[in-house]
Amino acid sequence: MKSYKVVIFIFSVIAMLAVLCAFFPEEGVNVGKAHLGFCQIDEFLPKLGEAKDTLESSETPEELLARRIVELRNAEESQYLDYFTNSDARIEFPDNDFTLFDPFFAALDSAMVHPVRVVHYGDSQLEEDRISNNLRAALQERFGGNGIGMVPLIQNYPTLTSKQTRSSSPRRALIYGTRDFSVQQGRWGAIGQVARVETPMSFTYYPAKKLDTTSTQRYYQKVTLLTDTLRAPMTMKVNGVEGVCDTLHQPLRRISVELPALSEALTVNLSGAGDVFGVMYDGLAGVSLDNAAMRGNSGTSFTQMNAGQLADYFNNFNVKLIILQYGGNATPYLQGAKSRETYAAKLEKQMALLKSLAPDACFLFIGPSDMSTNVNGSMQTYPHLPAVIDILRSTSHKYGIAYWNLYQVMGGHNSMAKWVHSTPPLAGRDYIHFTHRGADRVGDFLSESLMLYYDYYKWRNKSLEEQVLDALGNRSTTNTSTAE
Amino acid sequence: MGEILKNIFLYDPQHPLLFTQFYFWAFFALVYAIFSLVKSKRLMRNAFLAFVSLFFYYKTSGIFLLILLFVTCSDFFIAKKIDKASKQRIKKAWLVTSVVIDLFLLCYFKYAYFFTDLLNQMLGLNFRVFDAFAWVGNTIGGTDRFHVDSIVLPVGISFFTFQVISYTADVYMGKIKPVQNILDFSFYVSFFPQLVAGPIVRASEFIPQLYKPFFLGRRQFGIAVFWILNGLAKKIILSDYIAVNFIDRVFENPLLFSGFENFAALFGYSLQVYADFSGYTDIAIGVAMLMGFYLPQNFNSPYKAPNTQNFWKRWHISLSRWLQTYLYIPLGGNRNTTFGTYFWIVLFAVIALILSGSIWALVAVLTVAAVTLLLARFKPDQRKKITANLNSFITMLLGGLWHGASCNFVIWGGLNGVGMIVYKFWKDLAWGWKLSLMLGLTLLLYILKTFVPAPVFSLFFVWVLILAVGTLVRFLFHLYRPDAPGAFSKGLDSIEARKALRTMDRKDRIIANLANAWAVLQTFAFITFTRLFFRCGSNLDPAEANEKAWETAKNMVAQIGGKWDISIIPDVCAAYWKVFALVALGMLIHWLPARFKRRYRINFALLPIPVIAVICVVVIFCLYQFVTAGFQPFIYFQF
Repeated sequence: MKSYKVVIFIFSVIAMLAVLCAFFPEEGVNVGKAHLGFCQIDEFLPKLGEAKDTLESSETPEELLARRIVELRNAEESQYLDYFTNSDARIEFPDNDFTLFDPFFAALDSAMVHPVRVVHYGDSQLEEDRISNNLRAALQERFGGNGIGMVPLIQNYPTLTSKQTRSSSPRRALIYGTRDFSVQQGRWGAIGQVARVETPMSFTYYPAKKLDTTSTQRYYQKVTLLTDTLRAPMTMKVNGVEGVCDTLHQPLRRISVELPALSEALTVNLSGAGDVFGVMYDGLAGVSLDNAAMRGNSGTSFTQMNAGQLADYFNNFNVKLIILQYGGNATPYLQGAKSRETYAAKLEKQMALLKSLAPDACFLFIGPSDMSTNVNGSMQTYPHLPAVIDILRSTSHKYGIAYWNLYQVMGGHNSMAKWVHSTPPLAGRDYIHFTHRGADRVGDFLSESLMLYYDYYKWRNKSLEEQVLDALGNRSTTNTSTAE
Repeated sequence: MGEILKNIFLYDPQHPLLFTQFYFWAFFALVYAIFSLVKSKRLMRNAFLAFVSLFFYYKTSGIFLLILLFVTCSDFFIAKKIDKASKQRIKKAWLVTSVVIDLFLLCYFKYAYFFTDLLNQMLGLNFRVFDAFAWVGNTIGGTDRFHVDSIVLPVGISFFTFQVISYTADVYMGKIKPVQNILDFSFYVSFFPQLVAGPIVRASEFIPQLYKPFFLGRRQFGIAVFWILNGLAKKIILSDYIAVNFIDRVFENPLLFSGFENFAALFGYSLQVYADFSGYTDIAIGVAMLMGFYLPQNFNSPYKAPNTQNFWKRWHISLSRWLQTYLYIPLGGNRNTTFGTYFWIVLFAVIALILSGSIWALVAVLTVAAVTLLLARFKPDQRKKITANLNSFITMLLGGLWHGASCNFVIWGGLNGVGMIVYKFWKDLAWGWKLSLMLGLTLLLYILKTFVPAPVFSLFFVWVLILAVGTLVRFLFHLYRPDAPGAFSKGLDSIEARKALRTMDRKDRIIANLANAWAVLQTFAFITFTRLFFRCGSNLDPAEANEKAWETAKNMVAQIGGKWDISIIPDVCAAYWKVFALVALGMLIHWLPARFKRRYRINFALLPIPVIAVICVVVIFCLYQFVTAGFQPFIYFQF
């Protein structure tokens, strides 16, 4: 065959495709259920206007985060407000009320006297204690505390902070999935999980290998088991020490053990029969943080939970900050404005309920990260994601809940693709979940952000104090009174 | 306008020229138009294609073009020296020099991290890699635009270094005369269709084509177009679509998915990795064929292999043959062991030590090797078999390492080596022995699984149980008909099998087909299992990549070997029906008889050219639907 014929062949195929491009409707054609689309000619023409875009995109996600950390650390004293109102990575407070977290910060300051709890509810993005463990480490390092907080009785996979082995696996029910039995009156406990203990069992907790020996999360001293009305008297022994059963509290019964010293590995022996909601591994004082990852959940299950139990948990365990990290699982289905409103309405009910059950706690909503879908053959941000974020932010603010825009923190539009393709990768090939490294970056950044607001709180108090002292004409005691 | 020219001619790491992108085909159309003008002047044709190929490489890899040029020059001149040298000793010295240079570059860019990591772990050091080339670049240029603290892997370096080694070795062995014109040689090294992902073309097969005038038969044209469309479909539908919508997400977080989903993803991955790799080489073959060049076949329906030995004659054939000629035979092949054999045994023993962190691993590897070698020494009748297996096992390990600088690839190669050796011993065993072995193994695993409840034992138990039942059935059938035909060692589409089948009656043919199907499934399952170790993260930090890949394998085994919730399977199938249907369809097409495939290929090739053109447009339109198909949202079935 003559080669010029091949040339004609190739160019005629390209020409036919060009004709198809030119005449195929941009919005595509529906054939039955199937939707057929084809590219448009202008997609192939060089886009001159994009030069600026490529310049910006030369910053890798790691560089972006590093720059944000620098900006954050520079935002001291007089520049606080500038950062709080302008940075893409800021925590957005309703009505720009930057004092919203003051009660939480005050509680942190006295955490060594009155232990403080934080609970981090969320979806699979937090699984394996991701993100939570960084925040926990930061808080414990600064304000004291030990342990990994509450974990379900049955931990099916090792996390970044702990590993469990157990003699048997009781049946379990999860508000967001598997239900081996039905749960009455929404008695799901604090993190939406119940394990039905019927026969004696034992389990051992080890800190994860990756935690170095200086990590506060490696050591536990107080173990508290949360359970319901017992069907047979339950006893718990931790490393041989017998637990004390607290029968006063009705919604959540506690069996707790205080060990004589901080311990690494714990062997827990349980006997009796009852529904167990979880076990807390804490220090005797300081900050504890519970990670409650609900795979596949969109944060709309709290109204199905027993309000009494939730209130007992929030108020009697001194939960001062409730973090809600949801939205990713709902996003693919929220293309239309109507569906977004329906989702927001559902979330409103949750927020209203949680606010009423935990009147003393501060709330932070972490919205969806950037997530990609196939847009004309390349993985790009879900086109409606910014609209989802807008409605989540305004709903949160309506209920006095601060909002942290993880999508913007990552770098905004199409940042997920960059996180996936950065070396080493910060997010997985599913374009949704962070890798361990990526989750570390997010967790550390969240901690730093929160601490910036804490520093601002300290600065405000300090300057207030200074003003008072100035007024009294007694500046000499400033140093001692504001020392941390 | 300057912007457009810049886009077209400058290297942009974000936009390499990929076969699945329109820009590649626009590039090819232009190249072909010019090619058709210069094709009759042989030297001009080769020079033009060499130039175009270098440009192509520059577009994909930027400054690494210099490395490609460097190996091209060094091997070109060394091969000439070898040819001119009269003494064997000098010839050998030049050959060694060339191989050392080529392997040094390959090791430096591909394995620097791997070996640094090994050294650090072994000696408790904390060395960092240092990119000397970047440093030199910075010093000469007086800039700091190259990063010295990371080494980036140049695209295709594994392929082109193997190609230049084959050239110099072929010249040394006198199989070919050295190429006289450096442009011709450069064309051989960097021919753009196969530059990035193979096939690895051997000098003795490709160099002669350099001197032939252009010729493209009418039927060949059709076949070339067929390979291109076939490759695009494989790559886009069977690889990218199912990867993005199912397989990647399971491999990313196996613990988020149920045992059944992990199981399905692993089998799906087996197809995906094949479709990805072979799709790419299909396109390369088609593109080269349009220009009148013939690249060797790289895949021959590998999952039709009835045993692990045959699998390697069908999977990445150009690599297997390269390793056979330039590694296995120099190691001593099936004749004897050489210095190389011992060297690699010790090296792999050290790697085993580092991987496991226990001195016992080193002792175990060395003991096994020593016992094997002693057996070979004192049992002369077995010597051939033993040395052959030892050398082929080492070849497999190195073949594994070639795929990627990570211990997981070594494990993968090792598993394939074990599979091959087990097969070689298994095929000569008597049926009674086979059955007893399988039953014994089943019992052992049953005991293990009962007393050491680990998912890996449950997984192996179920697997071995199925194999044992199969063996039992075949054993019983064998008692009833001792002369029943078995599976064909080279597969159903081999000439031997076809001849034998023709002489059989209908009943025997059914039996032979059944035996073959069983053997194929058995091999497919084994190969699929080895794929657990075939996936690896980024090559930048092997410590992390290793850990991630190992975690993934461990977690997948935990999920597959854990308790399955049978009730969710129908829901999983309903949710992922598109992906599952594509995998099933892909496997069915894969298993179609070779004769049937050849027939439809030829029928396609003989269609009138305008019809072929229209088919191209239709296929591209369909592929576009897959490229842009919506991303399947996450659904969880396990909590």
